[in-house]
Amino acid sequence: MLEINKVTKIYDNNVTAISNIDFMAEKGILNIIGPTAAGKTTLIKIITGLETPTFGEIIFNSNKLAESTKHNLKKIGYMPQIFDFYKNISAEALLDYIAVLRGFNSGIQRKSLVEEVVEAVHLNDFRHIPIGEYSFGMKRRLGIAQALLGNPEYIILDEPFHGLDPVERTRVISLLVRIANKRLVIVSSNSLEDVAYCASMLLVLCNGSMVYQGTGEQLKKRIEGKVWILDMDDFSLEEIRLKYRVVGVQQINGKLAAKILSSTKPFEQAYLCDVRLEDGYLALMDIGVRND
Amino acid sequence: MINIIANMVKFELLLFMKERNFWLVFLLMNVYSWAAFVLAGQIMSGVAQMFIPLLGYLAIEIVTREKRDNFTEITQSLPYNDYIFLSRIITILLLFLLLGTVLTLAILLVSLLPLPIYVSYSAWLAFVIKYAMIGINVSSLMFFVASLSRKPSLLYAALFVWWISGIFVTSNAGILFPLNLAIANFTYIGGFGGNPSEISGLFPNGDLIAGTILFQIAFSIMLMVFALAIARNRSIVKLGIFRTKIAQGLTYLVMVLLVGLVAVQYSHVKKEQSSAISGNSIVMAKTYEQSTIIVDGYDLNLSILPEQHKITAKAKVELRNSGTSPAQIYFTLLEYLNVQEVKNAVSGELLEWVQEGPYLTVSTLGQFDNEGRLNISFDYAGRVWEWRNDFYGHPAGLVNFVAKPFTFLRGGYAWYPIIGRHQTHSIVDYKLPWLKAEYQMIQHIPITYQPVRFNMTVNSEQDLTIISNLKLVTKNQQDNQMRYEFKSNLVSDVFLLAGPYEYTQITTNASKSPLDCYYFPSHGQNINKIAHGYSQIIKFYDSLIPNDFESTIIFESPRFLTYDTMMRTNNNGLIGAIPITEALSVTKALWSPWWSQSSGHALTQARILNLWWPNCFNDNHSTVADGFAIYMFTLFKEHQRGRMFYDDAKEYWLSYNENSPDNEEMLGRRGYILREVFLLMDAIRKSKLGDAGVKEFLRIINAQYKSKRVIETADIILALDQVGVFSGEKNSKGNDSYHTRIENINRLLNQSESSLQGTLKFKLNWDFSPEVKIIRVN
Repeated sequence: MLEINKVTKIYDNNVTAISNIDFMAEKGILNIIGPTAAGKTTLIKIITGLETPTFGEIIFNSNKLAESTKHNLKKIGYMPQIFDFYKNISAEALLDYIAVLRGFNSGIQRKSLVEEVVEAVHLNDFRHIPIGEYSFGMKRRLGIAQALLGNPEYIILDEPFHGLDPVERTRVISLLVRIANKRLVIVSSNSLEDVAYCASMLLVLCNGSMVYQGTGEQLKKRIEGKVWILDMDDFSLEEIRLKYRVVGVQQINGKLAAKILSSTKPFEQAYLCDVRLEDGYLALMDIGVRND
Repeated sequence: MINIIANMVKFELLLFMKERNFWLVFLLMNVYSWAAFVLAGQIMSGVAQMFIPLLGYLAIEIVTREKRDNFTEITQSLPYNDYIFLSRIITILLLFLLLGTVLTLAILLVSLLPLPIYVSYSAWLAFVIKYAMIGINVSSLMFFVASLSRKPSLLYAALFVWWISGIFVTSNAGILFPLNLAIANFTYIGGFGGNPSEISGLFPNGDLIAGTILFQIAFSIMLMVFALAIARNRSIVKLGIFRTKIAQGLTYLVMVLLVGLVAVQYSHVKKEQSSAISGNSIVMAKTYEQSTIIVDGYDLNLSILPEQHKITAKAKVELRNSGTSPAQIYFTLLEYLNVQEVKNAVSGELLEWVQEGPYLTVSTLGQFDNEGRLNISFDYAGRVWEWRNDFYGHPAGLVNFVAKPFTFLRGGYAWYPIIGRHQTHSIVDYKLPWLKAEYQMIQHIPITYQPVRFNMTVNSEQDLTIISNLKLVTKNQQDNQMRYEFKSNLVSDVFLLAGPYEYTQITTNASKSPLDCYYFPSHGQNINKIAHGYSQIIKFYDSLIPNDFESTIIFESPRFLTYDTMMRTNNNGLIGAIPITEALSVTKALWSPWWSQSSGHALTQARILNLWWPNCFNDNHSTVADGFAIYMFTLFKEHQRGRMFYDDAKEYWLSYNENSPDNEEMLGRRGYILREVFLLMDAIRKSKLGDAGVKEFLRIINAQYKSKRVIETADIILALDQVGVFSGEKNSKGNDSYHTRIENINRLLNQSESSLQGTLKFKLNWDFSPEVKIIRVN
């Protein structure tokens, strides 16, 4: 169980990166989502102990992170958003070193753990070659592999799908879904396409504030019966925006149409449509922006 | 924890092994070492200091590559990340150890190869110590800076500033900065300036070295502990507390540094004060010669205690009075030899005496009439120490410079009572030519007397070989005591050197009598070659001035004895013996180009010429004698190479200019005296007296010098007259030439001492030879 209690981070220059974040999570995939500079990475760094919160606390299974850092870090597998590896060393040697830093003393045990994770991320055939020869996508997979090393209780991945091709992305998603059965996997992203659909919980951040916490279904339900389609033949976008919240523009049957969020029918020509997760997210973003 | 750190270290080492730059550094260090061996022909401990930037680079590499490779965030999120810093410190120390092992093994390998490289194990030891210190210091400094910031630019700037400032401080220690600033200067270990003796293992300035090493290790450990503490805490403590801790840490470091500096400064100042007090009393004493009292002989019974660096002595001096009955007789005896009893050696009656500094006054009680004889017995004991200047010419006080188990009593030093009051030391103000600052330098003044009969018995608890310019008569063992008996009918300036020597007698075709050769155990490989080579030179000089030595002694000189004068040409009180350096004894490159350099030749020649011109080429008063010695040397070279050498030498002296850059630091104004002597001898040679006249003149003037140890213009005029220069060439052009030369010498000798000495005192080294110049002319 991970508890985030009213966490706030204010940097030296008085910039508030995140404010009053408060949630709990157990098993499954927790997708932290939000636009760029929403505070996702700051929150993740605080959870992994890389940064200290100005206020609030992080609790792993009743243990406060600040009080027993080493004990808690043993439970975490983390892949940062931006990273690289030593170029002259092989993936196998590097993963072995990370296993050492995780506290695995037995060489045999480390070898078995390394084999397990390179297999999981499909790098088995490349584990002996220097990492400098890896493609960007391979390095991302190696990043995921090191986070999975030793089967930690909490896996935290910051933008893990960045730079992955569709096939790799699918593989990683299925891997995360599989491992999330027994542990909490925290994945940050700025796109709903990645894991939001299979996430057990969504955490939406905007401008450092948590604007939504719940499942994807719940998010969709919040706006059911409120998303309308309006053909834009007779209205300009500016005209619609003056009166209503437009959450998207799309092409329907070769014509441009606006998606309008409204609890009542906004225009005579408008009609209700099926709600998607993105609509809910965009609606939240709109709120976030307005609140700001 | 140990297992985790060991695995981390293994990984960090693997990273180095996989990096091309590491192998480049490895290659550079090896190439540099080998180049230094081959170009200099010997192991140079100073090479270690040149590795500072390379070792610094490796230390910076290990602390910055993680950040450079964007790997930091991953490692910092891992539970045992707090061991990373420690593992890197261990890695870099281990890496330096591995590199150093390769380098030192390479040096040892050289000793097994027939390469003409001198492998001094003590220089090797100095290299190892310096390398280890540099490794520890570089790591601690770099890790400390890295604990504050991982910015490569900052780390490289710190390394650069430290290295450059270190070089600056080192090269100006003792000049702009106090010598003991070495303690704060991690690029340098003070006192390692010279190589120690293979036999004694003594480094000059040993205490400072030990102090500096201990301090630097302690300071390095402190830096590393602070670095570790900062690295472990920086991620979890609040920034304000962190800054406070850094400030506290830096304050502690500065305090420790200051305490070290003050401690060394305090001990150094104490030493200087003690030497200055005694030094002044030496200078103030008046000299007095009792010319009517003649010494007929000495019977000296000496016990040496090499471990305590002490002697106890009973000296019987046989005196004869050729004048009125004196109430008191004056003697000179080094002041750190304390007189315990003085008595009439025949009647056993105690005599009244007073010892003041180096002067001893004995009341005769009216027992010493004209033409009467008086045998006085002196009991005295004391330390075998000497007043010394340090490496930079500063008074270093009373210093025991002799390593166990050696005992060295110099010729020309009053370690037995010498009749009359003689000035034993002088303190000369010396102004560094490039600075306004003045220094005082203590100089020993050799004391001499007419040759006398001298019997000496030496007792020692250890079986040491004793070398002296007296003839060994017997050596035997009684109980646990070794007893050596020496006897000579006519000798002055007796010296004694006791040490762990091997002895062999070598007969050569060139030498009239066998050469007595002394060398350290296992250093005998070159002694035969050296003896044969030296006897050729001795034979030639003997043809100019036949020698009257009872034996010719060649001995290996421990480095502590010749270190500060190794590069100089005088024999430093080793009258009637030729010292050879340890380096020459063991080098594989004996007659190789390295040892055949002009400097090596000049040293050999100068030491052999000391047999004829004792204490020549020193920095006291024997400048005219230096001129005759150099003239003899020129004749020897002419004999070897032909007339061209002589003509070139003459050309060199004719065009001698003290202000030319080549001469400024070597001969200076003193060169003019050497020039005048050369031209004077050349004038005799060109006259109808020819080579025979030259030889006769040299014999006469040499006899004068040997009895007085100084040559005055009156001696030269007398000798010229005796060879018949003036009688044959009255009013001739040649006669004018002699007068001009004599006038010039007189004028130069009458100039103030300091203006003649100038930089020579500081720079009198192996360049002091016309050969250097003449070879350049060639």
